[in-house]
Amino acid sequence: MVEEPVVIAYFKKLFANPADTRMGRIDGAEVEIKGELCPRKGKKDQVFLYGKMTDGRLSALKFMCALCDPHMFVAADILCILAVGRDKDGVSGLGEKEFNELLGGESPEGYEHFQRARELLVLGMLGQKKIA
Amino acid sequence: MKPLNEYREEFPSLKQKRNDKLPIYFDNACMTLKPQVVIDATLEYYTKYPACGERSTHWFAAQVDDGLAKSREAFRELIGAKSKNEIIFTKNTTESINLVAQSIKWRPKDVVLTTDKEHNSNLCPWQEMAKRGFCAKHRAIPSDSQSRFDLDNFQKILAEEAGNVRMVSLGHASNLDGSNIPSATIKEVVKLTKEQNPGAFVFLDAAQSVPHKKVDVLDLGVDFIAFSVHKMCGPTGVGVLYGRGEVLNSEMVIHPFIVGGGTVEDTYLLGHPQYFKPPHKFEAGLQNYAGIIAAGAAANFLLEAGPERIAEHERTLNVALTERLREFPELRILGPEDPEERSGILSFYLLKPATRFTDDEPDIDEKMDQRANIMIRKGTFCVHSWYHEHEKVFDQLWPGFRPTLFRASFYLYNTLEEIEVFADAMREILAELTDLPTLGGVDG
Repeated sequence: MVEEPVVIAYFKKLFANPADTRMGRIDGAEVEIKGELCPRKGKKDQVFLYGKMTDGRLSALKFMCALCDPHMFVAADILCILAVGRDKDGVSGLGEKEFNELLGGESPEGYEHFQRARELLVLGMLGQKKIA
Repeated sequence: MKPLNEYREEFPSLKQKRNDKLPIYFDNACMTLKPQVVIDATLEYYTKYPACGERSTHWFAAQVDDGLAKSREAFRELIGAKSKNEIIFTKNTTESINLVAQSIKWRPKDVVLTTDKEHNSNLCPWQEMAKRGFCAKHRAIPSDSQSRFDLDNFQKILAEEAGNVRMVSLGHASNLDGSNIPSATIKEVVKLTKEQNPGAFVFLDAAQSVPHKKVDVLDLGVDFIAFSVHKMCGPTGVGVLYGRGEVLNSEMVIHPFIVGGGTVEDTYLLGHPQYFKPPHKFEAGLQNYAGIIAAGAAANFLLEAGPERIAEHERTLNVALTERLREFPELRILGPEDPEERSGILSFYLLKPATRFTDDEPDIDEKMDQRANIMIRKGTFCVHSWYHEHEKVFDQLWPGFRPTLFRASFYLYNTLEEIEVFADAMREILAELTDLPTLGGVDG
């Protein structure tokens, strides 16, 4: 994996504007799932997703990343923007084009992380709580 | 007595070079290096008298017996025990603690107290006893705001448990942050525990204290202490359990849980085995003779170097590194603010959501190793429970913030020059990470 400036720029922006972040918990979330999504080099990161559901669609979505690399923070944040208002199928259909638009450029590694986070969310919407 | 800095010469592993640089070994809380005298003792056993001990009477066996007796005596002297029969050889600290946990004759209402930041080896054995119903429960004594043992909290819990406390098992020095429980506090713990709980024991997990400072079991008045020889210049696979003679000899209080060869004087097909007196009743089966004999060499090596001098040297190194690391505002040190209270351990984390740009990039510990041969440790140091208990604290810094912990730990062979190399390497690495944001408005 290589360091991608577009990802780092987004990552810095994420932490420069705390009020504008999707990071955190949602109390009483219907969707609540955690997963180890980057099990590389024995590293045990954890991604947490918390979602509120209204009529089968996500009305709010937040995330927390523990011991993750910048790509996962960025991917999870973009997912939290894109997934709101969508049902399970709508979330499954989110692709690279939408991801790149919000990222402001292309990042194959970032999209790979996005795909993992997206799958985690879908499992969460199906009621699963944890994946290893 | 030769100057402490001359002992470095006796460690052959410190003389090798990689990339034209000497090693800087700062992983001593996990495992220490071995001096030539310990290597020689191991080799001598296998070369000259590789026989069994305390069983046979022949030429080779007599040398093993002699080596074992000398080793037991060296450890007696090192910790100030009354008798060498109070010294039980085990595999390591973990086994020593388990041996006591499994051997005590528990009562249904018994309560076990530990601190809230114990190594898993001084947590799981007691939790397991409670889970299996041997004792009633395990409780953790909350540390103070600087992660030090809190005597007031201890007294509160002691009062709440109203005479049911049977075991107080405390990490003497923390492998997480180096904080020590002062001798005066331990004596007070012993006094209060025994006054309010007749028949209770006080146990010290001394894995991070005996190798680094003078520990006198008679002065402290504790019933048990456990430590590992691999953390004190000795071989791997040898631990020591000290048990106060009166306790070890009381059949009503403690009974060996591993029994068999070496533990019994006599057996019958019908009837109960007749056990040896301690320590042999607690040392089942053929032992790690090479290891135990070499362990004796390690104990004598430390006695000669002087535990007080080692403690002072480690404090000096910790003060120096703490001072150097103050120049990095994005770096936080775990444990007491005063480095003199952290003995030879300095654990730290960065106030950054990530410590590398990509998963494949080497982390700080790997960069230290690759660039400067500096060996430190990363992880949770077998204190997962502390880490989980602090998740709420970390969340206050940033939701989901889980710092990567790093630990540098020193010993008698480390030098102030090595501290300088470490600090310089840290500056270089942190400069590369300036593009990664720093939490809490701290300028990186």
